[in-house]
Amino acid sequence: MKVAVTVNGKKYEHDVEPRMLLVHYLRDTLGLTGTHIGCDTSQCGACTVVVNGEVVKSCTIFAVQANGASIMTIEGLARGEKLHPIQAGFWEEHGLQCGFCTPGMILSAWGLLKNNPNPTEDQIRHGIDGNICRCTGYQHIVNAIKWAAKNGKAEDYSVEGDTSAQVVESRSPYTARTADQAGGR
Amino acid sequence: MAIKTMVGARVKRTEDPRLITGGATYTDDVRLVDILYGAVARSPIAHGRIKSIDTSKAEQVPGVVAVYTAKTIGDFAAPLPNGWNLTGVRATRRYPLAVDLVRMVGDPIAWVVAESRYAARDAAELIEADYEELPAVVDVEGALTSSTAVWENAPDNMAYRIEVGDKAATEKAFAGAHKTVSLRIVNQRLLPNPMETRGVVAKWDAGPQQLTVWATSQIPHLLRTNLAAVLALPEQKVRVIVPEVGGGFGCKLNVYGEDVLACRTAMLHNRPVKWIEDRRESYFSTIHGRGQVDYVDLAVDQNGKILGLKTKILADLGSYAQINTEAIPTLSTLMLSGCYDIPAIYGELIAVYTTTTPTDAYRGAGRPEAIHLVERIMDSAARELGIDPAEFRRRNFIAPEKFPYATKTGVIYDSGDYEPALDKALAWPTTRGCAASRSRCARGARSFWGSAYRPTSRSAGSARRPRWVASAGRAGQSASSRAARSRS
Repeated sequence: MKVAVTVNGKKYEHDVEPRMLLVHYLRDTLGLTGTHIGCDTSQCGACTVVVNGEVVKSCTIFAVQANGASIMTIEGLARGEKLHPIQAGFWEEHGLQCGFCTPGMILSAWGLLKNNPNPTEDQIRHGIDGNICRCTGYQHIVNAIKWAAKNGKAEDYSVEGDTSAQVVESRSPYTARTADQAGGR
Repeated sequence: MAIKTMVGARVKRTEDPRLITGGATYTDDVRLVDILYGAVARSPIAHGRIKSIDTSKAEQVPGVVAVYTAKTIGDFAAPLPNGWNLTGVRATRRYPLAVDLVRMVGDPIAWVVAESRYAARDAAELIEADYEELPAVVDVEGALTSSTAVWENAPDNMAYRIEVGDKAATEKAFAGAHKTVSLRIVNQRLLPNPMETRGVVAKWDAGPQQLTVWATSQIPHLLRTNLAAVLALPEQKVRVIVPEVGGGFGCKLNVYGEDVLACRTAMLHNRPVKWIEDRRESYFSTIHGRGQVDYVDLAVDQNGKILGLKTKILADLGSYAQINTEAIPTLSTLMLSGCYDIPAIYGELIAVYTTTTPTDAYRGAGRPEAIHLVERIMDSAARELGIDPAEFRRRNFIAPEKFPYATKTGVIYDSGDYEPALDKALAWPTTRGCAASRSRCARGARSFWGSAYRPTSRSAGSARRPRWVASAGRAGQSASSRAARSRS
């Protein structure tokens, strides 16, 4: 089956097996290996990417389901040499040790801060509860996200092809609630 | 940034930029031209004799290059390594693919190489094996009296038995005790579970006869030595590269069959081979941690001073001895003194084979198990004596002036001063708003702290070394005395 996507601003088109997972498409076909596979079963969040402005675990969807979408992976987050505030926060606050969960953790945090620029500690912990880290005990990750909330701007959270606002109504109550909290952004 | 002292200095990690931008290379990120993917077919039963393995359907899957069983993969120059071989251990022999018998759920029985991950996995699922099922042996205590032997050379399933300390002196201490307390503690198995599962990429260069291996390993040098031995290659012809590692926690401190299979098939097909473990097979086939049943007795005098400690550790080794398997519970026996001045210690260790995943190094590797049993019996004794648990510990700490201190298990501690650390731990709960449940919090803090000293095991003339004696007879206690001791 044909799949045509834009990933980190670059267009790709491939013929893939219908059952190919998006994460394998990104990693093996496009060579974007910053997105990791931790569990194969959507538990750990290491494979988290942004699809049309929305945070998605890329092992839960097929590549062909992303046809026409605009995708951002960890490789597309920094602006050239300039780190995104969340990346800078993880570096500043020691938000990682082995780094394997980190790309997914950063992109989940991106989704959280996009919808809720000034989250409380509880909201941060809730916001990343789909991502597992085995090294840090989470406290430094929470600190890193706080750092990013303090040092980020609205434009750090704009992304090409973002349609997430349009579909919020049909989403789960939690998604809708966090979108409500988005306020000024 | 001028750093005057490293203590307390804030240093940004130099490896972080690549890790936070997706630029790091982990084992599965290694991409090579013409690469094949490996997949393993595994035993669904805990114990059985392999009657037949049918690989014909798997071979028909488009993209499959080859399917191997123990019969077709070819001979290896050595079994998978067992790094310790303590005197008297009834050793196991394991090859990358099970020969005749499977001894655990997840035991590899066949190996597929294919052009894609998906084809390899499809084919592995189509491999059909016929087994003559044998009884599973899963309980470490029951194993010693089971009529089923996991290994022929260990008919009572006992791998080895060792003793440390002085039995007669300890019994004398107990005979004169004011009080004795006993505990039975189950230190349960656990999964090391790093975020990145195991994985390996092997590349064979036929011209120079050079094998290059990328592996998510904690022991690149040992891996190289052992791959060379198993594959009959000169060691200088094996290069092991460990790229970024997504956590190990001890479980990547090993040499596994899949490492060897990837190398062997890379050499057979003259193409690179990659194998990446999935999470489910990681639970079966990567080593587990802990797995002990501990019987502990402590003798104290009327002043709350410890007179003696007796322990009997039943250690579940699982089905095969991996590279450090036997070493782990022996480390428990060496650490039985904890941070206490215990004048008489006798420790017995009975290591047992079961039809379960092997145990091996996990975070502290045997030593936290010892600290756990010591600190648990300290709490029990304090309660029994009606002494505050902190006070009971103060009375029994090794005093700072006693260092270097030789424990009765044959280990030298070079230095230590435990009371200030206890004071600090006791201060934490109140500052963290735990005043209401102070004693409970304090106990937790102490247990944590209990493993924070730094012993060394260097040899010293005056220190008693452990006696590595394996007994030839049946292990340990009768069922009745075991029941009598299990009251708690």
